[in-house]
Amino acid sequence: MKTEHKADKAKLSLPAGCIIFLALYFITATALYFIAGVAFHYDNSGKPLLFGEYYFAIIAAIGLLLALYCLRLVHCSKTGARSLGLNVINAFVNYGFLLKQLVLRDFKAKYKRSVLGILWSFLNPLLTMFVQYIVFSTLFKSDIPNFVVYLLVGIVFFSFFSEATNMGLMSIVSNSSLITKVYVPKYIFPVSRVLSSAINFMISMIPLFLAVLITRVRISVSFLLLPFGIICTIAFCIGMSFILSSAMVFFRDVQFLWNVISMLWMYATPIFYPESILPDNLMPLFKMNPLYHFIRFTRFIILSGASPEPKAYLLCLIAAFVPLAIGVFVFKKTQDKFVLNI
Amino acid sequence: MIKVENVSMKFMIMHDRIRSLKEYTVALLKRRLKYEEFWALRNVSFEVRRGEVMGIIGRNGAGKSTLLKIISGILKPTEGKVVTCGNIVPMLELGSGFDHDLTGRENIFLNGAILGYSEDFLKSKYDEIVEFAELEKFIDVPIRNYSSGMLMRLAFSIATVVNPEILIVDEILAVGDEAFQAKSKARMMELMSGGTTVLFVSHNLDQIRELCNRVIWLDEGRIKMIGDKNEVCDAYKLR
Repeated sequence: MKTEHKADKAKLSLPAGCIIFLALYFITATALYFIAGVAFHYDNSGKPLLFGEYYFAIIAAIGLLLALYCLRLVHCSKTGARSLGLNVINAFVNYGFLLKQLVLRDFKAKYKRSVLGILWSFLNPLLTMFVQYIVFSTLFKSDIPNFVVYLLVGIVFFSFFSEATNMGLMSIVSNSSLITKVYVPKYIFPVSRVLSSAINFMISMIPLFLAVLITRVRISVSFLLLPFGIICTIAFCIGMSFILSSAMVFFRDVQFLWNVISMLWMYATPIFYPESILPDNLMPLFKMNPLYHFIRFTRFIILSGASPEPKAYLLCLIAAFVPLAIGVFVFKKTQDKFVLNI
Repeated sequence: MIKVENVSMKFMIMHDRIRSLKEYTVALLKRRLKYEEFWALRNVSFEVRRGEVMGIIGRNGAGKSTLLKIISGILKPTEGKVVTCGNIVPMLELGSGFDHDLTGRENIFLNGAILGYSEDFLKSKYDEIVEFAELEKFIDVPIRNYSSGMLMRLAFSIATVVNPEILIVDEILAVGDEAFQAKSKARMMELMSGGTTVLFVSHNLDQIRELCNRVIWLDEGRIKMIGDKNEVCDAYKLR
């Protein structure tokens, strides 16, 4: 029932395993240090929050687990046993170049025949912000402090979500000529589309930071926590693209349905209105929206200059990786039937 | 080395192609979701040894292309198993990964990446590809401005720059003008004689006799005959 490609297996040597271990360990240790440090700073009551106190114990435990896992990876690659981590590394070694080429292509193709080109990634959120700012600060009075930044965070995150899912939606169908002629792992198409939108996302962060500077928001160390929210958002969008692109192969009306749903989604996300206007009894429903958590997380960091409470990290992780896991599952289940349906 | 074990491929043919959610629900409610089974391949088993050139012949619809697609990993067989060893270059349809808004140079890298070449390999072979395609002057022009001959020349040059361990060929591709046709044919012959394992589909029996060691005759998804090229070709001609 399977086609094996033996060339797909790369060897992972012990030194390489050590490097992976060190990199992962360094990232988690610094991240935790910042969360603990900034959370402690935020708490002010003099009592360190959960991981402030046990920082070194937690770090040591995580280090041990990571070391064991990396050893297992090296062992697996020697014996040829299958493991998820190894598959991921192999995929990056074998298809990293293809992924890079596809991301470049999508990104280049987007602005290929426009005069201002890449500048549009920059102008788009700014112009949307101006329109919405005028509407909501004159027509509907809002009492949100620093409405410009509040609004811009919402716009930047939501437009990334909408662009990434709309591009991801078409990724399998529009690459049908490739999928039916060459063997390429299919997950690479939605992933490359989301990543090329992520480049845009990064560029549109620039107007956001200009707004931060202009409105004289205090820039603090906690800004270093922003990548956490960004990575969670990207992971969430990849998950959504997996689900949408595989649904699109079987039912072409998903694209029209998605237009409506994403509009609904926009109004269900507090982008231009304050959270306080949401009715209390509907709050659990709004908290089911992953974007709500990512946007809230980012706004909190920028506007209060402190780390959100530890629970917010957990919620972001759940909001990002549960949809991603569902997406991977759906995609894996259906991908063998793609060729027959496009 | 290619090992094909008991491969069967079943296609579900729907009477009216259902493409939308609405049509699907309507059909489901009316219980009109009718499929018809079609076996494109049934219990096909064979082995191609390293360095062997295996020809595949058969009438249209005999399952030749399906077999090639299964071996190159594009389709998954309904039953059975395919084991391949080494990198495969399928020359099924050239230039399918081209993006018409990108320049020739960008497309060399894009198409090369799709065919599984590494970045270093492409960089070192870049000049060779351009030279073989005779496109030095136009390499920085978006390929939507290329003529169809130029496109095929570029695609051919990218696909054949590598010395693959397994080469899958669906008809010998003679592309471009006469001079380039001769050049591309020579390149194909060079690839096929250079110790690579080749699967070669053709309707041209003379070419099969000239190039192959062994031949498979496929008929309605089954292997009708497999063996020495002359025996199989003679039998095929008599049918």
